[in-house]
Amino acid sequence: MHIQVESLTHIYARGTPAERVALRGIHLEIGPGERVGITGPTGSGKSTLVQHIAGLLVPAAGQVLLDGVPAHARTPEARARRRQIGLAFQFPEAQMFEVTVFREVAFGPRHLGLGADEIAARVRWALEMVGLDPDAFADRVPFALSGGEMRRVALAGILALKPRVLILDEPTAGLDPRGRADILARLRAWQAQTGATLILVSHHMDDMAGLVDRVVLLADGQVVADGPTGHILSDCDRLRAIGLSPPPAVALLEALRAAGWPVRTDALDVEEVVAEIVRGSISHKDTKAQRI
Amino acid sequence: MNLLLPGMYFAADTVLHRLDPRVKMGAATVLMMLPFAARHPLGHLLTVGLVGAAVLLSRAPWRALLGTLRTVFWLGFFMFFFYFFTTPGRPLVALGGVTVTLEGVLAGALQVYRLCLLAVIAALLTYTTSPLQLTHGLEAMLSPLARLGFPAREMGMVMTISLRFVPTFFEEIETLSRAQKARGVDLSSGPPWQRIRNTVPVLVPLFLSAIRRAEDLAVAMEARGFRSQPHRTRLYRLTLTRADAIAALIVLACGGVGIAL
Amino acid sequence: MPIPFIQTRALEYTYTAEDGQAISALRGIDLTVGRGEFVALIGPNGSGKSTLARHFNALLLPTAGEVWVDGLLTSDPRHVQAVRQRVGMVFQNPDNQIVAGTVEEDVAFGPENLGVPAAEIRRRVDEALEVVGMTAYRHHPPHMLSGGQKQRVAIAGALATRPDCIVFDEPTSMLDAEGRRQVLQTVQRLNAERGLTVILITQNMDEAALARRVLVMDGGRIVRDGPPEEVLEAPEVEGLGLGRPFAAEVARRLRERGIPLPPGLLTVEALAAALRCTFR
Repeated sequence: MHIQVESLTHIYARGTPAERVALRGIHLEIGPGERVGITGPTGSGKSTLVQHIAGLLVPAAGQVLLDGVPAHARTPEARARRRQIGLAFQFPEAQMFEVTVFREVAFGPRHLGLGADEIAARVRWALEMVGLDPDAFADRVPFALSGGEMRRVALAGILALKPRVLILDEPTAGLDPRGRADILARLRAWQAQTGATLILVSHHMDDMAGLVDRVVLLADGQVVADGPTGHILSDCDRLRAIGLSPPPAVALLEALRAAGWPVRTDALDVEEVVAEIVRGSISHKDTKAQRI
Repeated sequence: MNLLLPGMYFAADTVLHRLDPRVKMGAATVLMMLPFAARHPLGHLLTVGLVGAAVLLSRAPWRALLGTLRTVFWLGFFMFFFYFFTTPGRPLVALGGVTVTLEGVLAGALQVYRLCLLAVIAALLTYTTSPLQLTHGLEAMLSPLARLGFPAREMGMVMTISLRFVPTFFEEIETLSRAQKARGVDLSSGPPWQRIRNTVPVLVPLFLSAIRRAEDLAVAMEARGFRSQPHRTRLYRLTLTRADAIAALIVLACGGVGIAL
Repeated sequence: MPIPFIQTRALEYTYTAEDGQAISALRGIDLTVGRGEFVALIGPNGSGKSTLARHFNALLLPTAGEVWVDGLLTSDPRHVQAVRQRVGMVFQNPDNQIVAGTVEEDVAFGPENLGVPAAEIRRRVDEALEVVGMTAYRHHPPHMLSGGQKQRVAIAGALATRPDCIVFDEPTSMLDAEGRRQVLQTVQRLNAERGLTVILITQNMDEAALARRVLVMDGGRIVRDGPPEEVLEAPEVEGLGLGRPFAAEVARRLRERGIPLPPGLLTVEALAAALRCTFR
């Protein structure tokens, strides 16, 4: 699906003393199959923006077009497009209400009006996708699961919609390191298998490093940068200027570079950083040796 | 949220905000009685004037107050028509088999006017009085009953917490509705029975979260020494100032005049 | 060794689960936390971290063994109030620990419960809000604050009872990066400048690296106790699936490639400095 955000403005609590402009004329285009991260400080408008893309909010000005159709319109075409967008809110397990894991995951597909066999097949597939054994989990009570398992069930409920665009709002918030790494790996696999568009809202620079190719940086309701992940996340000055911390990998390489090491600063995962430091240490020694 | 909901306090520093909550609650009670008790038009004029002055003093935004009125609009609309068609008297126009009477129009208008005033007064009270102040006021007013064994303090605490979580729950309802909408639930169309059924995915998680919150809150309150001492003290002791006395006198005088007229 | 502030002796805690099974959450904990220490408490989910922490201010009482706070036995009912005044708690969910409708009224809740006179409450509220940098928000209702701000209000609420120690039970796990930074800075400052004893429960190893002592729990026992430089790189801690601080992980892999680095590099700054040293 082709997503176009055109001069999108959103105002909360309009006309009350609590009025707040959340988005100020945003422009953004996301092509089919792209993997995009959206990040920015608290209150920058990340969550509001993706809820507009899912057609859940009505713009104060501007619009979001999904394959050319306004996302929030009350027309059959708009509804059909909205159905192809899956949005997992922050702490999605807080929305669970069914008595079994199966029913919870089947909730979305049931509302798509699918047959019982198709629903069962999708539930199986979605649970496997998030790393839960369908036979062991389908009949369990969602609320008796661990925090990490609940998160997976909630995400499976979205994946079972088989969206062409999947939007995840802070999918790893509150998980322990192991749970985080696992969810990210599952999402990567899901994206590779389906080729769908993935939009990841996160303040976790590390999460984005492994999952998206492009990062949109928001601050105060505006897009302040948009480009390849390595490029955006290694721009320490810009990140700090809007109140974000660069990923630790970038911070480390930046510190070495400041000390005169010939290293790139756009390496994002541990292995890349190690390789870069090893390479840097060798040429650093060489330059020193030449000078002597 | 586009309206000033009951329980929505907005911090500001106005004469009305500074008044003693007991005085405000008493005044609100008197003012709420006036539209029903007053018989002479001057009494009503006095009431409207007094409420209007309070609105100005509170610096409450017009839009927010109108939003409050919108919540009672439909109730008022129904009442208006009820009186409109059922009050006997001088006929104005006949529509089909129904006769609209002058008395009907007046009686209907009176009901709508009363309802709007009640809504505005209630909104003003919660707008200018913080939940804890309201609680202090309520507690103070109930305290004579505490000697008879009525749990005034506990009631106050229950009220504080309820008011504190009103905005939180509204936010939560909104988030849940949107989240379930994103999963394909249509909350705003379909036959009534289906709409009712469609609220389950919102209400069940809301209920579960309320239980979780209550448990967390109970632990947090205990950790902060709640009930570890028989007598709590207060950051704010309620003390009447001259402004309070003046406000109380004005409202009482107007109330007396309004009813006597 | 600083003056002991919290001491547990052979602390056991057993409770009955919904299915009637008896579960041992704490199995013989002997621990001394000194006045002014900054201790991180880490361990997998269900290892007993929160259960242990709740014994420090008499929210839970031992099934067997004893807990002493500042020389007071927590299981003595006469000491409950004194213990809760001395040890404050800040919890995970910022929304579910704010009781009142405005910031300053919430901060006043603790001293109000302890029967502190009004003028003194006023002083304490103002001071506590100043310390966490929330004075400008004192009349705000909590729902208009960010997560990090709400947690700072919760910290102010704990400070207002003038405690000697605050137990932080995963205070940052529901916050974004900015809120996390705000809260951690406040915690560090309270310890360094005011000598507040800090017990920080966390899942995040970079946060644990901020402490001067790390306790590792597993299965209701303390399995490791020492300075972060030793504990966070220990192989058996690695086995608990808690991860490592980012810098420690990079350092480990660099050592594997033959780059000589000293042990105990837990922060990016320390690692960068060590690398500069090595290749001077």
